[in-house]
Amino acid sequence: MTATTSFRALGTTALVAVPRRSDLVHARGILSAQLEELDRACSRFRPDSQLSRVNQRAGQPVRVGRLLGDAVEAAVAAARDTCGLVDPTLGANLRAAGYDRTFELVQARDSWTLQPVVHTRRAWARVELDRNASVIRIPFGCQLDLGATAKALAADRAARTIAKALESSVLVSLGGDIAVAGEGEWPIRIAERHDAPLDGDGPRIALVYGGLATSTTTVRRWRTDHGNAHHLIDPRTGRPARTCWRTVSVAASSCLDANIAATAAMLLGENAIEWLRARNLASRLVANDGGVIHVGGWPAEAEAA
Amino acid sequence: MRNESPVAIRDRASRRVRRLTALAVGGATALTAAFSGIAAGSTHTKTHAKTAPAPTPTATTKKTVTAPVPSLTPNGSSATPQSQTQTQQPTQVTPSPQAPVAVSGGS
Repeated sequence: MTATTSFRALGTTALVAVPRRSDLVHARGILSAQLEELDRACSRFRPDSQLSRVNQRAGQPVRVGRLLGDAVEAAVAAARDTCGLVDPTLGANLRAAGYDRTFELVQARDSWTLQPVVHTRRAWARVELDRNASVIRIPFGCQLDLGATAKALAADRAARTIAKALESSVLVSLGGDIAVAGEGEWPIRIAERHDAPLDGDGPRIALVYGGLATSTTTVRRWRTDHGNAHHLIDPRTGRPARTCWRTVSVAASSCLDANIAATAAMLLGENAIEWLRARNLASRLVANDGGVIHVGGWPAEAEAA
Repeated sequence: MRNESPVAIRDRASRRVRRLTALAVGGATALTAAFSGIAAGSTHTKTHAKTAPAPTPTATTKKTVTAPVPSLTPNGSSATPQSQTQTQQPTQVTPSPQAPVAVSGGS
């Protein structure tokens, strides 16, 4: 028997699952506290967050806490490891595309006029992080957005912390980015939206280790004067990506790695198949026309459904 | 005007050369120490993001013993200078007949 609880956090749904119902309150308390700390450090929409301070003072050194330091370090590493595909310095591009406030407010807006933006390529390579002095300096004119990595990093951390505190297995989901820890096998449904019902159709897989993430351009969308835009910015154009995939799900050794790979795969287009195969990452790619491709040992749909 | 012997002239010149040599060595030592101090003071322990030299995407990964799930590093890649993980096994994602406890999807 598994016990789960969910609540709103970081503009999405946070969920924690543990085998024993008696552990649920404790697990939720740990997750909730960690997410509040993450929001104070890494939110792009809170004017009082450390990340907002770093963005406001681009070009100057800014003292930050350990959590934001870790998040920026992970984001820059993601950019390096994907040759800049998963780029944390696209904050200004997201704003120009219309994602300049919480998604609820973006969706409530009638339309948005796409703003011109000059994107400095490989700005991520000039992000300076001094861990000893806890100081970050981003290039002048650059804005950080940690959306592709911070949530997944938080899921990994929370899962590890809860598993250690409870001496139990645990599953943590932050908007569909899932991390598991401890000994256990977790059945998970794959869907286009993380808030889809548990009992819907489609593949169901079991995850015993690491993380699972799904990236899509079909959920976080909004209206603009040039048609619909979405949150996945292509660093090569500085604009919302045009990709042949509507959804990519990836399992990896951590939720962070899974999320990085899913995002990179979306941006790589057809080249994603070879990229994922070379890394032995079990992946499920859904093309815009609905065709499904499995890579790296992802179980066949008929078996999983 | 007193006539000095060639020996006395030689000795005086020799002393002058020794004095100048000592001054030059002392000056060089002092300058070396000063510049070393300045250089040491201007260097911080920094993590600085560098442009990736490798043409192929690579990843820094944690070495794991029990993990059945691989990280981002490509198999057999020669461009993995920071990677600790060598050969990776395919991910063990299996079909599950059980009722799911969570949904992985976009948000």
